[in-house]
Amino acid sequence: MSVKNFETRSLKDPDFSNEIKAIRSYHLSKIKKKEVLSVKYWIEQDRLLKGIGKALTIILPTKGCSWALSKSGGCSMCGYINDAVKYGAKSVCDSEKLVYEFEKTLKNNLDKEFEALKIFTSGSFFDESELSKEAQKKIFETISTYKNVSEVVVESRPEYVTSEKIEETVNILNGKTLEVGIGLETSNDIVRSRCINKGFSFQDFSKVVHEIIDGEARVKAYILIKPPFLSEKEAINDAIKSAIDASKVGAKSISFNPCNVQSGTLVEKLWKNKSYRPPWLWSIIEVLKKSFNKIKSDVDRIICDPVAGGKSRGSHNCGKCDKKVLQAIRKTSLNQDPEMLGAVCDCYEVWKTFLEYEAFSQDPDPSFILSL
Amino acid sequence: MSSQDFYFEAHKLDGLARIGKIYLNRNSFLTPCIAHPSIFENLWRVGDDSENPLKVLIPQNFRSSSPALIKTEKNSDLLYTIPSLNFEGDVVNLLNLVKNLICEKKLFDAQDLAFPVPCNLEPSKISYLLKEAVKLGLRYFILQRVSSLLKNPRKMIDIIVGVIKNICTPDSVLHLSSFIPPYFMRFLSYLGVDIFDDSVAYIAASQKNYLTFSKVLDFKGLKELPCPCTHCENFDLNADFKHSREEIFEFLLAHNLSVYKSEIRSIREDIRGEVFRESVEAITHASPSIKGALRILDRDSNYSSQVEEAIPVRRKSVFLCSSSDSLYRPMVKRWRKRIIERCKPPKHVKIVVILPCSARKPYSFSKSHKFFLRSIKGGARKKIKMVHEIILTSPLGVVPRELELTYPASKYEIPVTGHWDWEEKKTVTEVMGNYLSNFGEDVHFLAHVDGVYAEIVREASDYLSRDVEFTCLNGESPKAEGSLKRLKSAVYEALKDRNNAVSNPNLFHIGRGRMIADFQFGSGVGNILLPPSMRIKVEGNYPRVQRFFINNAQVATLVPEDGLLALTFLGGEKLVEKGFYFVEFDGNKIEGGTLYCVAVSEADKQIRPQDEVFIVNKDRRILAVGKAVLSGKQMVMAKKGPAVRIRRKNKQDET
Ligand code: SF4
Ligand SMILES: [Zn+2]
Ligand SMILES: [Zn+2]
Repeated sequence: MSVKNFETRSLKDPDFSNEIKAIRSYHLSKIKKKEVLSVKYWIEQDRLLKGIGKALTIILPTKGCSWALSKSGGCSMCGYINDAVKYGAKSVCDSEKLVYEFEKTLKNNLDKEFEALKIFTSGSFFDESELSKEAQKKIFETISTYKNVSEVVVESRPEYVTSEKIEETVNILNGKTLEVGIGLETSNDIVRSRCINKGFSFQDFSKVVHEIIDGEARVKAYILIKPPFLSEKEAINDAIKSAIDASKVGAKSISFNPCNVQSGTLVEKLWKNKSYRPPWLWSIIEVLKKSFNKIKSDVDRIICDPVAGGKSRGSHNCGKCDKKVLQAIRKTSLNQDPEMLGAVCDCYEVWKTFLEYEAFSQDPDPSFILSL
Repeated sequence: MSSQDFYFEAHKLDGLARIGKIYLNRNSFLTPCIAHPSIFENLWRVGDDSENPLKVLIPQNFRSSSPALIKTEKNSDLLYTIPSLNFEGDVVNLLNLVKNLICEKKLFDAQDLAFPVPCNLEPSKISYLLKEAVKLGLRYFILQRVSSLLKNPRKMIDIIVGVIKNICTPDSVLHLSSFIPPYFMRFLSYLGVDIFDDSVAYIAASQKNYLTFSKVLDFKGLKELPCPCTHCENFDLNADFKHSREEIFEFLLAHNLSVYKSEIRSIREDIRGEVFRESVEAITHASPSIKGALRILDRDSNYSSQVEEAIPVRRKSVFLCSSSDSLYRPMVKRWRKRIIERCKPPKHVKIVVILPCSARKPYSFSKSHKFFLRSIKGGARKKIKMVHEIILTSPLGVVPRELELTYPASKYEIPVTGHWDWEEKKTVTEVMGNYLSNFGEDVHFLAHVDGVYAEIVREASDYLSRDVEFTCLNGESPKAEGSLKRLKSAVYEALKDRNNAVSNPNLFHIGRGRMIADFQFGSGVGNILLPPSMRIKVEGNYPRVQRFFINNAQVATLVPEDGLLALTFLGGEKLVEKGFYFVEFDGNKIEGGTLYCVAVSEADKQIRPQDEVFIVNKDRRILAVGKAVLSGKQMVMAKKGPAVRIRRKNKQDET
């Protein structure tokens, strides 16, 4: 029997980019972006390296992700750019101002208890067009003076991460752990490029992971559960495989992000068109179970906090069990104990059957059968 | 797989619905049929429980599939499936892939490929995708995400009928892969879907749903099992608690699958028995969106004419009009349209008598009509040929006496309670008004009707600004002695000063022949077949077979079963000369009893299934006469399947 390729596909996909860009631009032209954004922050219980603890999350209002603003259109599921400051409103994205705001926020929270600090930008922390080199440095210098903080997390696309930058940052932080979160989404290059439009390869990711590890920092890999164009079953397998692959190259934290439907994205269009349904919570449970089973000893933490969980735009089940199942997922994340994943509902059987038959029907959601 | 191994033929049409046959190697099976998903093989087994099913691979996604590996090994019972789309931006890329596979790399014949159609895309994109696919020779279409249309009747019809049925050739197979409950199968068959996936049986069983032909029931709430299938008979509902979850699943699955199986058989049987439309009207109660979709299909003129094209001109079944949708049935609308557009009343008519319908058909053999006829004849005596009788009825509107034997006037049943709704009245009034407007000012209108019929006549008379003389007075029924007497004298009075210029004793029979010809073949054909200038002889007693001769050569036969004409070659020549009801054959000698679509080069667009048609060669010489299987348009579009079943070949021509 001879086997042939359907076609050879390049990772470049201008039609896909254009469609994402068009949807995004249209949406951005409709919404009114704020001229001034304040720093958002919150403290919550989290799984830290040393166990359960408190983390302060601070979101800096930069201009937003350069990838999303570029002519690539950004990622097919990501609408973070909607929350960024109006592009060109220089006065607020000004790096000095951001540093000032950051310090003020930190100072205001001094009396509160937290050991981890997460600084997010709705883009890449290391992207100097979002935050100048000096500002990045200044922020780390400030943090280094806070004794009770032991863990610092930032996020970045791989192209902004360099050995020098990691080395420098680790030096400044002087003993505090630095973790860089990277949105790998999947270890499958075809899915990452043709379904997500991520714009980098697994090789790009691996290279940066090694640089980060060599610089004595850590890597958190974000894995997307159920990228568009995958069936529920394919998505489960893809997420598990991606977690294994990411841990193999050295990521020590695995953070699963169940895909949710954000405004102005291709995913939203597919969802409205009945071509996409966010993952079932059962699928998340399945992914977590298998991941704990396979890579627990290779990584420090496997976490998942479903955005919009239980809502139609987020990961959901039948509606009756969603709260219960979400709680099980959160508890498992905190305690790193897969035993806590147990939950039951009649819809579990429906989900199981659906996994087998979705490939035939190509209907992403069987729930209408009762309601027609 | 060579191109001859798999193909599809449409064998019997009822509008968009059809009984078809899938040919696979040396086997064949009928459609509509079920495609069972086989999750271990990743393919459908198409053909109910056929031992030699057609296997169709499930599609991969165009985006997420790793460069798909395709076996190029020839496999005679397997169709490969093109990757599926859920995104408009990929339409062109996908088509390029398909072109590459078929035309450049020549890895596949178009016939060996199944093509997924994402029904949730923009109609214009689906239309583009399908047109290109049809051009490439693809004939097997998998309709995906139809479930997204089911709640929106307008969209359902726009896409399935307006786009898909409109573009696909009659020899294309439509395989629906969406999750749909069993009660949508009948309606979707009515829209022309040929193959149904029964995955929902599994999903429903896992959901603890018990399916029926018209509902999805919650098993936990059932006090009795409505179905008497062996699975249900052997399941003790009262001992429900004794059954494990798996046992309940297995039971529900077995029952649910049996519902699909039995429904698909019943669909085929109803199409075959020529009662499919009636069964579809009955299922509209299962879902408001089916009801809505049927309305759109019947009343939106684009769609109703698309459906009408493929509605046979005769059926063997009784024509049941039991729902308000019957008023808009394509066959009923065709009747009203032909009555007005094709049937012109005879010139010598001086009185039109409007009569009520009767339950017994043909009308003239009912008790009431025998009374009416006696009075009319008594009043007219020798001038009887100057009287034209029309019967007022719902849903057909008007039935001229000449067409009382013509299907469906001869075989319809309505609930006779005297209740007419507003739409019925309005429609019938319009048809009557239009029909009467054909008569000159010197023609006298007599109405021998009461009740609702009288109201309708009054309205039509206002609308026409013409006087109508009523013969049922003082609340007396048409059958009352007083009314009948008045009818007789009214006819007498109206005719007494008219000169009887008509002498041919056969005139009424000839007039009937002409009007049927007009109705069946088009306005004016009656005078072409039976020219007033010629000596015409009629043999046979109405309502039995009647033969029409010109100079002792037979031209036509009135077939009493459906009240339509069968023509001789002589009669056929006159039709074909006019370009009417011909099918052009690409050759000179037809083998066997069937003309196949592949040999049809042209055909009259007026041809409907079951029409009397003439097969001609390039020089328009008649080779044979027969009954059309498809519409004229379809037999030209299709490459596979029968076009005409031949009744008689032209012997002269064979020498
Ligand atoms: S997912 Fe990350 S890289 Fe992609 S557009 Fe959003 S912020 Fe940018
Ligand atoms: Zn549930
Ligand atoms: Zn049963």
